[in-house]
Amino acid sequence: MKQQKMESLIRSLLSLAILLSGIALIPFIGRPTNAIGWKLFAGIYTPELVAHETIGAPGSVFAFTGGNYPPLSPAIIYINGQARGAVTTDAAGQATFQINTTGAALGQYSVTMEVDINASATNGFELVEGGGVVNPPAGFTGPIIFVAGEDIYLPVIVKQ
Amino acid sequence: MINQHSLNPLFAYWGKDAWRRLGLFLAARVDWSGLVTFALPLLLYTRTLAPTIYNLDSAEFTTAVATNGIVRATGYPLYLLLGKLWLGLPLGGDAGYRLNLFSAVCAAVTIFLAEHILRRLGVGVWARLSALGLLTTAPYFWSLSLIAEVYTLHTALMAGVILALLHWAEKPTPWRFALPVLLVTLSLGNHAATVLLIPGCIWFVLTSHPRQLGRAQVWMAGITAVLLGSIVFLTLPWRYAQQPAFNYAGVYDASGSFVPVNLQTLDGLLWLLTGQSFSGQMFGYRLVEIGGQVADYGRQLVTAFLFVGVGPGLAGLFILLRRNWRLGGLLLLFFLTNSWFYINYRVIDKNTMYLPTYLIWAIWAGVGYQALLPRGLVGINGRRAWRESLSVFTLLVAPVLLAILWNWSLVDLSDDWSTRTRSEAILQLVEPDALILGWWDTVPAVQYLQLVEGQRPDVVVINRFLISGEDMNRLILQEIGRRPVYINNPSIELLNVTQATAVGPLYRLEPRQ
Repeated sequence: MKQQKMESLIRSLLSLAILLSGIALIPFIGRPTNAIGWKLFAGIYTPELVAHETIGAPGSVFAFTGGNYPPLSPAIIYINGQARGAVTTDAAGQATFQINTTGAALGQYSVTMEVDINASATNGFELVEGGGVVNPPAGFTGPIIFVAGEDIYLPVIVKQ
Repeated sequence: MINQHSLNPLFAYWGKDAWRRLGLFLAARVDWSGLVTFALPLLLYTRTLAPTIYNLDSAEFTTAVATNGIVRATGYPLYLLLGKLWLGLPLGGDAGYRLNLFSAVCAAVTIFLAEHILRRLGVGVWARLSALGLLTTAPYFWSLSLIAEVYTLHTALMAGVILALLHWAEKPTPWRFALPVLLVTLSLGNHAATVLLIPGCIWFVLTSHPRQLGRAQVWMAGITAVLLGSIVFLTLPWRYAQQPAFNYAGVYDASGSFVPVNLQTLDGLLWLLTGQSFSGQMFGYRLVEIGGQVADYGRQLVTAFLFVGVGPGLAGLFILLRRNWRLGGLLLLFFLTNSWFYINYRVIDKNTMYLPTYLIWAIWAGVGYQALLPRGLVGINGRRAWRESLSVFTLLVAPVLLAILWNWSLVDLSDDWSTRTRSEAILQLVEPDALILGWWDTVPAVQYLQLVEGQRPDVVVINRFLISGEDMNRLILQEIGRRPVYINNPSIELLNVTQATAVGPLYRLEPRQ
């Protein structure tokens, strides 16, 4: 009788463990928090280029993050319509780079990151006199592209 | 003595025990669990339904259905046809709302049919309701039940195929065989991913009653079902012949003329139905990337079933394979083919495409609950001790209620007018006779306002999906001096020769001075 009870208890505990086993995954996965809507899936059609700062003094280094581009694709970086460097997007279609403005003239600059005609986004920054020198956020990485001077050819690594 | 009971004909007929008798009568005659599994999900979905036209593919489907148009590959003729019939019902609201409601009804039908599958497998009512409650409230299943899309019709047909196969296996007659064949053929007309169900169906037929395939009558019934189901595909050449204003099967050339694919030829029809324009995205990951995609899918599945559905689902998979390996194999093949295909499909919205695997998981979870919980807990018969009632509530009901509370804010679209507002703003902002070039988030919804509601017929709108980049640039440079040209995101080639001015979500391009 006692053994039967014990077996029944073990059986119940085992069932309960299987039933609730998924809960053990909570610390590793977490609950989804992003609302599901069309904007979540519209990104692939509209690449965007985010400038982390948009105003600074000459000598500033502006950080840019491109997103929603075709993944693992080489992208050309244009400054005022002139090709100045290249990056390769990652598996998520993102790429980061920095624009060094040492020696550049005051004024408005447009920056374009383009994979192809259908995957292009433009943003910009302005160099102003008396503004503070801005730098990329801590830990920001990415190839450095110079605005001024002769063309500087950066190595382009295309992953096969 | 006259009292209110004696005035009531019901009480006059059944006496003072009328309420109890009525309860017993209804309990015996009405399929309560079936009713609940249809009505409660539908109630939940209608409360959170998108109130008008929604964006991206949803806008494309709505516009095509409402205007007898043609959508991109894979054509979706069954959806176009059923959607058109549905729009004929007097349901109120605009065409966008009514087609959103169609998805909600299809989702509720899915749950209803899944309940019947679980019932056939001997799963008790609370186990059924709990497993299907988790499916109903899974974020992507819920959200795709709120907008015009093909996915919930796909899951409803898939549940119908499983049920029809079980019906056939019980008593294999030629006409019972014809039903799943007809449903699979019709389902191919709704979503080409139905081909992923065919290996499982073949497995089930071959392992259940292989000798049936030696009978000429069975083949005749099957072929008749295929021919009948294939009629739905004639929608496409028929619509092509009408030269619809909304046609996404073709391309624009550099002069801005639309060149439709001829859907009255076999080549043209096959091009559309087989989705060749998306073949580049199929199996589009390198080997090293697949592990990450599998992990992403696993995370999605675990959160879809609110963590608590994982254990019962896995238990149900193994139990079903042991108890009924034919059916277990069918469901496992459905699950594996669908999950593996979409894991390897390189598109951004693939999270929305896993619903067939959710359906299978819910069936497994129901079987798992049934096996793991004491028999007294999962059934409905007999009086319960308060401890048992508490256990039922804690283990089976509470997770579903929790899922509703947690996921409501993630999926609720009842106040989402963003697509209509954005599209109307675009049509108000652009100048007369403008040319607009944009992607899916811009163009189909604007076309809906033009073609369905008659707004701004002077504006020409082209989806960039339908024109090559080079042709688009040539078209823009040719048109820029003749009419206002707007684009969602100009390329560097255009920026170098034009001046772009932001106008709402678009840029107006003008010749450089």
